[in-house]
Amino acid sequence: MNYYSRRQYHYRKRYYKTSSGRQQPKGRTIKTFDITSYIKNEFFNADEITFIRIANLYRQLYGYEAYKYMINTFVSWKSGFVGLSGQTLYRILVCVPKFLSDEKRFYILKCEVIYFIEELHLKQQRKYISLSQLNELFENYAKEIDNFNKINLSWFVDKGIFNETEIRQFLDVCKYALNKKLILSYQQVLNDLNLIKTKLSSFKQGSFDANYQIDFLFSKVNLLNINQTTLDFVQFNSHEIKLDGIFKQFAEKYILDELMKIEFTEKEGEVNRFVNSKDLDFFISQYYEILNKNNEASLKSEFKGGGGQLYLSLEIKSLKKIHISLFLSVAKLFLYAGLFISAIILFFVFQLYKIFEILFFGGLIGGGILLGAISTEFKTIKNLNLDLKRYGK
Amino acid sequence: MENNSNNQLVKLDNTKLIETINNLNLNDNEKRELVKQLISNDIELLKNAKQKLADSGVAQGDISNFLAELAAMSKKGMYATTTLEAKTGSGKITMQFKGGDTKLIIPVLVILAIVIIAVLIIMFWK
Repeated sequence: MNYYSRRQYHYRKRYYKTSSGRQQPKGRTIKTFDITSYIKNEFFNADEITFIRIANLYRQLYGYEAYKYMINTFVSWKSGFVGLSGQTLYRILVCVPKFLSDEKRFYILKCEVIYFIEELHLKQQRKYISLSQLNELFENYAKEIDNFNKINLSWFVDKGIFNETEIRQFLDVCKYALNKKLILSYQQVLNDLNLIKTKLSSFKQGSFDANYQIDFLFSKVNLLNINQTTLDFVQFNSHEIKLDGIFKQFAEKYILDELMKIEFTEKEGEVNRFVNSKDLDFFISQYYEILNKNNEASLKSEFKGGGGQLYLSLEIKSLKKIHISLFLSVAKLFLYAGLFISAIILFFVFQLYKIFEILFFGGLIGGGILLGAISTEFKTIKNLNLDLKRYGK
Repeated sequence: MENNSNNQLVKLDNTKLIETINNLNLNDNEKRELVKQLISNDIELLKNAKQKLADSGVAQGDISNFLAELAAMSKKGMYATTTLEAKTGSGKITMQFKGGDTKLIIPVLVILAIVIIAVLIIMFWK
């Protein structure tokens, strides 16, 4: 599959067209760089010397007829009067990058590598896991980064646009940055979870509902068992890079930009975690205040931490009210049972069984209602007993 | 793994990055721009942190006032189901209070039970 059709395939798979014809992302998708437009633009605005070089290579690769057609149609293509065919576009994609400045060639390579890295990143997202699977989730991603190699970018090597060394060097830079981000996210997530665990340590299992969404992986972790789970810290290997070659200067600048972003994310995460800790303290203090006043309430919160978002729900049930409800349910149960037994006695005393219709409908409807009520009260008593165990001090 | 920064804001330290910027093969102007960006990021962070703490303070005040009002209403036996939503610095808090007066149900049930038992006694009393 050639480059052009491969990218088209991705577009078809991931994007829909708007009325204006522009490709728009559907949901959470990869931010793409339109390499075709970029190279077309460079081709149509090339200076005279560069254009001659491109044209010579075009002639060398595709023959005189194709060259002649390209020269004759160039102005019409540029003005948009004649559209570029898929084949011509493919040929331009092959020829133009070889004559661009190192900076522009690096820009194309950077966008392409980032496209594949983003694709890898997207595959690791949107998972729902338990707390015990957290380390596995990050370890799997780290392995994917390690295994990502230039095979994914073979088209550029086959067409001689970039050589293997150039691709490998920049790929190493991207893998280094991605690995740094992954490690930072892991540390932030573990810091958040340790904080949450400390704050929720006084809560019994089942008395709260909590989920944590990891920002970097866009995945959710179920925290129901956080107090029963030990949070183990896994050490990830840091990638080492040695920058050299013609793209060294640009790669250094790129890695510096990435490091600055990582630094900002780290500091922002610390701020968020600090505010989150304060908010969580206040939220829990309010929980106990309401509980001590024997009120009943549902408390829900969404707090942004260092590496993700905590969704915490607490249910406040007054023990006094649970006891009253239990007493009421038992009273109701006896009442319904009494009514049921009385109905049966009355049935025989007044010999209602002789009237078939009354026997049938009375027995079916009245008995059904009473038995239903008895069953409901049994369930209520069972749930109230469970609440007593959960919320009892 | 427990970090000691739970109770204090992180100190903004750019020494390492500034060192990296100085070691790179960049001209003075580019280096100056990068350092400027670092400082500007820190200012933005501090501004955001202050705003978030202020938001949390406002939310805490709102919730405390609301709970005080609710307690006063509850003493008068007036409280009903009510919901409060407050935006804090790190997110939001939603509180839903369940109202209702259980005191009324008990006498109703007791009276009902007495009536039923009385009817049964009258019917079967011989």
